[in-house]
Amino acid sequence: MDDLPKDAKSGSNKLNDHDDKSEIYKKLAEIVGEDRISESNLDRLLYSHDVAPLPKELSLLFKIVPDIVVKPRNAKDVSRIVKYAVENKIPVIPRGGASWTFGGAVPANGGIVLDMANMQEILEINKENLFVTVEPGVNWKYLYDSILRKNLLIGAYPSSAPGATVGGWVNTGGVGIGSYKYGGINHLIRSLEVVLPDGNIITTGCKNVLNNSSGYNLTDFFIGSEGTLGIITKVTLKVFPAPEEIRPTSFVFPDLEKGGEAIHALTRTNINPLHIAFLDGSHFDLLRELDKDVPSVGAIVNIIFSGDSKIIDIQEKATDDIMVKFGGKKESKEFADHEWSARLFESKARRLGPGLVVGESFCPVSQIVEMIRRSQFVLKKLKMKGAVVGYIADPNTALFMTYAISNEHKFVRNMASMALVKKLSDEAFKVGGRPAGFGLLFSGNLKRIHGNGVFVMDDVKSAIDPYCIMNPGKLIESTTRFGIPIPGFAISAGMNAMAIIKRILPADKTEVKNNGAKHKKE
Amino acid sequence: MEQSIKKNEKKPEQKKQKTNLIRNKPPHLDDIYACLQCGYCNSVCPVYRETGWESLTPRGKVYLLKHLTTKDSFLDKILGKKITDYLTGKGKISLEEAMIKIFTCTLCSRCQTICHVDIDFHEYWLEIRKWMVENGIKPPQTSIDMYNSIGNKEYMNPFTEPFTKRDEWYRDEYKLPEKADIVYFIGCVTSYNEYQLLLNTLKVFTSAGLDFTTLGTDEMCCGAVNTMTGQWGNFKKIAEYNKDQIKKRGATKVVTGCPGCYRALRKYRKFVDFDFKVLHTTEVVANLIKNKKLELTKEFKEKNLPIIYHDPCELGRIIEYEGKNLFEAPRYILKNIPGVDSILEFSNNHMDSICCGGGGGLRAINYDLTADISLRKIDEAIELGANTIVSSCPNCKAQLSDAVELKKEKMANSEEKFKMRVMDVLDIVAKSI
Repeated sequence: MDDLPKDAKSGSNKLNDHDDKSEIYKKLAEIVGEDRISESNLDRLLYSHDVAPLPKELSLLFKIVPDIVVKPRNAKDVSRIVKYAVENKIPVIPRGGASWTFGGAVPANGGIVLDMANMQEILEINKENLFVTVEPGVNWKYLYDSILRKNLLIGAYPSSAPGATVGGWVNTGGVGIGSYKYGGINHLIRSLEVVLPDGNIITTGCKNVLNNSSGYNLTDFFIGSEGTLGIITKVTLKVFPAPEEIRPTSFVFPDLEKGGEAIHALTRTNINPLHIAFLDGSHFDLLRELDKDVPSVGAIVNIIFSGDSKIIDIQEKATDDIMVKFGGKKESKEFADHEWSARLFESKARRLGPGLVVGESFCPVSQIVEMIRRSQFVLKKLKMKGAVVGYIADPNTALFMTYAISNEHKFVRNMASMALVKKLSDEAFKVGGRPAGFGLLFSGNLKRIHGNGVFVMDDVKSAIDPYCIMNPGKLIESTTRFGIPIPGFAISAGMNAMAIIKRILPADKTEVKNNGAKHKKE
Repeated sequence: MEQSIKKNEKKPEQKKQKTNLIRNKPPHLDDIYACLQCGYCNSVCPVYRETGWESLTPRGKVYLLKHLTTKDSFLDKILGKKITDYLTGKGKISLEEAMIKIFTCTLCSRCQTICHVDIDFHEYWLEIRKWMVENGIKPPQTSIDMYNSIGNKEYMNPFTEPFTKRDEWYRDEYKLPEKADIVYFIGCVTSYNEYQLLLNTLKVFTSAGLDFTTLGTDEMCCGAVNTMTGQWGNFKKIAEYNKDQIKKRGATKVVTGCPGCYRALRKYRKFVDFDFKVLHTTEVVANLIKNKKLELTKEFKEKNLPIIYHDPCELGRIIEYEGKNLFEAPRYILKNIPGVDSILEFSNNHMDSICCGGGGGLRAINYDLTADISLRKIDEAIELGANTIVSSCPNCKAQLSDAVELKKEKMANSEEKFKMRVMDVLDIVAKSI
């Protein structure tokens, strides 16, 4: 388990400047101990990616492989590491579960990757004051289950809950399952403990009460900062009394547009479900190609209620009426339960490619039908096989997580498929929405969303992180390994070119290999 | 100096291997490519929970395999490998290191329960180990030693114990017949390390009046170690040998108390003509109780209550994946023990049971790591208020007993009193006869 120090050293010999590298290793080993640090080729390779399959060719622009991987134990470790990094101007990249699709935790120019997923203790569950304090590496599903055992409920959690960490979701400003009722992560945090780029450790809120009175709200600075302002080492979350019942319901619609209309109508009432999700029929077509036992439908809308059973009864009845009015047909309880249990497993179709491209964007619920139409059109125009899926984040925000299958074996086609992300975010802008994340490649969108506000963000960043060591090359500007920033328009021009290539190439086909009954789970 | 010699030795070998790995594709390459890298498996991996290294997670291992088996990219072809390696900063991966990472796994298959793209991990890790060994990468030395020990006629077990000692615990006390309908296949761990379990099982079988015998000193390791460490070289021979021995006893059924043996014996069917019914002791005993052939009279000692049941990975989840459900038999037995009103369950049980740490041959490779895994298990049992941990696998029993001793050492100076017994289901049955 321990790494082979000899091997690690001989490996690094061949690569970079040996003296400099060993120095980092020695210094950091003093802080955390040799068993929590590695610079072997093998380990560094595994910390150079997230869910997005970044091609090797990207290395021309970014140095995505870190120089060293460190697993800090606590805020003090982090603080000492950061102090060392500032002195030597080495980039520091915090990494959570690496379950995002935008390369947020992938280094743009090497440096130290801090594997925060390793700090995974639940520190305090306070039933009296309804909060829970956790380390940033705690996994969302584990947290949800542990809290539920104490008869408490985490308001919302990401749709990648078994893979995502608390710190990671804070840094990506997530919305997820349960956000319709309880809000996104920004509504759920009481306080954060953050290590700033100068090594200071600060607390941003009050653990017992709201932080809404006067005073700059520091918590919000760090939510969605993609690790560019500091390293979160402790998170205090609000929790809620566990509901008497969580009741999933499912409705089948002839097509997704009808489902969208029904959702729009539902969000304009006072019915307050826990979660609303929509899935295009093509999602189920793809699952059937994988031999899953799912019906052939136009579209499905899942509405999940939580709370007291009697109140749910009333809400369910009112919802039924709305859904039926727009052509929905209620599915059986078993089907709804199955859909609910499959909520965290919506990317199974990747096996068909193999490969998957996901475009995440927000759009107003008032425009949901238009966005559905546009997303389907983009898929058709780029000749891709995929499905429009998503959920409702609050009464006027729909999160689209449209995905399409790509083929990793085919280099050009796979690269060109990335254009989907760009095209979908363009459509989101057109209907008055915005793309969801920026990560390694899409920081150009930041200016498009915030206009001159970006300059203020730039000032904040320079004030907090003057040497730009915190996850450099993300969010504020895409900087290549050579220190030259890439302007947003260059990336978008490149993406448009890829879209053209994708349109010229023949349409995507899926083929299932070795996919007998053995992969059949349901 | 020493290092440079080492390097020279390695270099030519590594080069040869690398091309091999790319040409000799691993089994189920489509699984490697299907992997989404979502990291769901990390959340359930017991090894990751203790070590926190991405390289020791299923996700990391799959990514590593993908890297090792991928053809040269577009960039490699244009710029050449050296420049590409410089640009990407990736560099050569030591295959020995990769092998250690692949072997640092308890083979508990909990990753399969949560896999986003339904990879059959319970088969997959075995096949990958086999494939790596076949490609000439050396497995950890302890695995090789165990393999050699099994192949040696003087031992025929992985622990380099003389084969003559196999029946020393019971040969005087039990005079077993030459021929019988049932062969009790004891297994190496039970024979050499868990003699209490062995004696208790014999006691239960005798008092139920079963027509059974053992293979005595003729028993050979079932070969589970070979399947787990990827060294399938003599597996067919082992199967052949054990089959002949069982046939000689005129048996129609083979009963074993070790889930590892149980699975290995079932695997024999793929290699030799093995038409015996393979049963686990808990199945047999549950049936005996059901048919009233075994009377349980003595009460279970109250001071050892409550008991908590731990599902062994191989008897529970993995056998379920292989098409047989053995979750209920041990629970049925425990419920019928006089004095036991209820059984506690770990918060992760049945399909989601967490490994005790002793699986996959990891005990021989990295003992400290397995101890950490089982200590966490013990801690949970304490938190749930249990006084006895019950399992139905000699490996789990050995592993958890060791952890209890460790825990006692750790708590020697504290004021809290710590008491925990580790028993097998058969131990409990024997005590209540």
